[in-house]
Amino acid sequence: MTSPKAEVWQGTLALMILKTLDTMGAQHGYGIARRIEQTSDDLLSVNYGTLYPALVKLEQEGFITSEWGVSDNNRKAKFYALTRAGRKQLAREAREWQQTTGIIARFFAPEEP
Amino acid sequence: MGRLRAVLARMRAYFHRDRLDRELAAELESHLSMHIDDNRRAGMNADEARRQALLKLGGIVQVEERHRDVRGVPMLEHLIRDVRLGARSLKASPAFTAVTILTLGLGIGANTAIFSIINAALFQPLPVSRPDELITINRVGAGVPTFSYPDYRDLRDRSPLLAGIAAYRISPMNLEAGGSAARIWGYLATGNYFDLLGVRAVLGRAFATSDDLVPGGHPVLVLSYECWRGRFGADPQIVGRTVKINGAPFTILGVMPAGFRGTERLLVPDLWVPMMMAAHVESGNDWLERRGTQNIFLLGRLGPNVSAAQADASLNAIAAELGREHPDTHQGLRIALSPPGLGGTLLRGPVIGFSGALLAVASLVLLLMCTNLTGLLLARSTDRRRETAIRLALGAGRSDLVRRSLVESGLLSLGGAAVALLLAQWLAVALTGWRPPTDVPLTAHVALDHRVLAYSLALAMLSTILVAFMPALQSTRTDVVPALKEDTTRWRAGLHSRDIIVGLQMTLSTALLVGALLVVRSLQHATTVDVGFNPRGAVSARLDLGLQGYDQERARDFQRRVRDEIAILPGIDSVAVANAVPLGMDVSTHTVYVEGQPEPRGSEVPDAIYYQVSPGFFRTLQTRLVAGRDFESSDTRESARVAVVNQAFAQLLGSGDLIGKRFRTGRSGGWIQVVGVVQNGKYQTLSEAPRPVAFHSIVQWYNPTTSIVARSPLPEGEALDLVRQAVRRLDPTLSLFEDRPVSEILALPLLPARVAAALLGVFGALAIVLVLVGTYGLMSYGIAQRTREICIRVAVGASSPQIVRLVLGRAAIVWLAGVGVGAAVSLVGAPLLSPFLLGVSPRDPVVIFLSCGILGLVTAAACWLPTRRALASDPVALFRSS
Repeated sequence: MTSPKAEVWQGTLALMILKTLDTMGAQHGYGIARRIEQTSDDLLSVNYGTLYPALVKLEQEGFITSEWGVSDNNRKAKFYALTRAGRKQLAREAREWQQTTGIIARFFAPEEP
Repeated sequence: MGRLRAVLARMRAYFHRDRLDRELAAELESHLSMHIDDNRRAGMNADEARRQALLKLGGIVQVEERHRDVRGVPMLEHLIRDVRLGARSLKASPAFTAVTILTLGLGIGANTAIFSIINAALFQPLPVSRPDELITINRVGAGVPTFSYPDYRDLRDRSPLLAGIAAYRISPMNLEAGGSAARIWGYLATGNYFDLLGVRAVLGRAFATSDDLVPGGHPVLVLSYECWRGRFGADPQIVGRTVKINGAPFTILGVMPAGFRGTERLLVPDLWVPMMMAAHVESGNDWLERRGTQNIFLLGRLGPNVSAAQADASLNAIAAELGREHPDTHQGLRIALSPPGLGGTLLRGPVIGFSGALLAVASLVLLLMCTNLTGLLLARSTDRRRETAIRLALGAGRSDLVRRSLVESGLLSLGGAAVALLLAQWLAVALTGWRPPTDVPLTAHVALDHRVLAYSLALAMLSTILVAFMPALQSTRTDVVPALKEDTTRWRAGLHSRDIIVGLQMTLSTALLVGALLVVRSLQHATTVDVGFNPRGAVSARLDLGLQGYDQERARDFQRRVRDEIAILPGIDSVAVANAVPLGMDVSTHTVYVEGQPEPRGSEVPDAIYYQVSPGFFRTLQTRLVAGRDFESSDTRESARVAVVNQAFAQLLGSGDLIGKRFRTGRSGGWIQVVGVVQNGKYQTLSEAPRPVAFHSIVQWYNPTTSIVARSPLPEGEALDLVRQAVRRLDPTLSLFEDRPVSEILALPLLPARVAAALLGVFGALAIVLVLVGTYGLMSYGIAQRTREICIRVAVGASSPQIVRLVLGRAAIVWLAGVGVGAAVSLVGAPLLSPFLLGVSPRDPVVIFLSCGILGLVTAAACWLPTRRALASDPVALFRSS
């Protein structure tokens, strides 16, 4: 059951995952979650569990792929990586965000004298 | 594109779910280990590190569930799970499941069987090419919507909008092959018949236009598949063989494919003969050029892109032309179109009326069964309240519960539908093999095709929804806490769903009982109706002398000698010969012009049914002579033409002394003198109004069709044997048909009433049983629920009568409301049963009161036992146990 707010949240979470993978390269779920927390300066307190359904969706849509590998401390882990389509989607969504924030910013800009 | 990938990925994931579950578990485990490692490095101890990691993850079970929702097809998975659970819970209560499936099976099966009959009679397309383009062209106004051959020619040649018109007539014939003779029924069809239908022979060929040019010049025939198999042993060398039809040699041209039965749904012919051979087939009666003899059915095919409405307009224009060209016979001629297969408009109306009534009754029964099942399910869901409450407490949504309830009912309905189809198939086979008591080979080829299957499944789905609706609603209204405490003290003063169900049952049962009583009364009435003769104690047998090669002189001689031969036999009181017996299927009419009266206009000339009879006919049938005399031997071919008429005919003759008045059968011709008057009777149906009938002397007006009637005190089988032997003595090659007791003549007119009485009698009894069981069940259940309340009332001093009044009061209100609505429904719906009712009004108040009364008794009986039990219960013990 998803409320509208949760859906928006899921959308932004997907964007953050894609960006993280773009910056960090291939990473496992735990690593992605920690990195998102770091990037938001701990302002976002995320339930790590919500990441995994989001990862499944991104994989279904073909934006990321997954592969079992070995982490730095020698643990078996499932690594996710961006695909070409994922990169394109990231660029598209980033553009849209810029547009949206630009329009909103105009509403809050001080009036011209 | 991403969407499509996602959907495909979801479906794939469904099939790999076990592996994916394991992978996720592994992934989460690895996630946790990494997090725990980090926590420990940050300084926490082992337990704290693990606890924090789990908290941050948010609960493994939730993650797994969300994961499953996202990756698979949740709806499908839930459905499959519900089906599994539903099947398991049904298996856990086998009695309930069996009863429900059987009940549903009976209800849906009865409906499906009736629908399959309707399907065979009305919907199944004829096995010809492009059957929806075919139409029957009917002559409006007459009893039988047929045309004459010259009319057919004109219509065929003058209608541009039709791709073609063919004509046919169905006639009995005498077939001799391989040394044995049999009476069969065949089509006289125009040459273009098979081409118009687009059917080809499976052996040899069918006849074509070139085989139908010269009257009497084409002694060929085409066999039906059944005839070829049955009478000729599927002889592969059949093409080219010669057989005899009515004594003359005919060549077999071919055999039609299996399943092709001509263009009448209810009739199975043996063969087809070109229409030009009509005179031979009907023993000398050559009507091909007579515009006044209207006896052939017309079948047309609409031209490309022509609608029925356009064809209708065009044909009526031609009819108007014919009216102008032949004003005495065709003035005011009008044409109507109808789908083919039921004798044009002749049978269509009665068949639809009959089927509609049957379907209505069967639907009522199904509804009744559904209400019973609803009651059962309601009780069951109340019993499972605790389980439902636990589920709700554990987080199941109400929509989940509704879905589960629907799935369970769906499984029951599917089981019911399976049983129903078995029942319907069995009934279909039985019906296809049944031949009604007629000379004409009538049959209904009933099969379960896709339409019937769809109907059955639709009924199953509908019953699911009907039956599950209330219990599902109720289960969602379960209050969790009281249910867990098994608190049963709540008694709602208002309307309870149980009461609604019992009320519904009362309504439906009232309607069914009213129908049953009406039909039974009507049957009673029908068997006592005065048919104008005494059918008991007499036997009859028929022969067609013309078809067996007798010429007029030889036939007349035979008719005289067979009477003499049988009359002297010991055991025979009287014997007579006639062309037909009243209430047989043979009915001929002629117009009546009375001497001395002004000539009425063309459309207002009265019609009379006529028979050709020998002396002794009235004595043999015990028809009362009201005035004058019977025919005597002095009425010969040379003496003045005489007739005996019935009382209804006598009214046409005007006032004064009836004996001696004269009439004739056409605008010109010889006068016929009335010498006797007999009582009115029934001649076509049992419910007809009195009709004018004239009995002519068979000696003065010859007819080769011969019915022998004999009255005898001997048992009917012996009397028939005497008649058969007498005929054999005179001519061993003659074949008799319809040799049976005269009382069996009533079998056909009584058939609708008997069928209705049987069906409705069974359904009515079923209704009573269902209401009894349903009311008893729900009443005793309700009273058991209220035991505590009753105990309290008794404890504070309520007397037995007061308790009884309390309990029965509610039942009485439900009964009253139920039968009240039921009576209203009956008043509105009873006219549907009119095709089955003889002499009984469908809105008979006595019947309605009787039904309500019966149901009142049933309700009282159903309430009695539970009430007694409630009163007899020991309040203290009950208090302690509950």
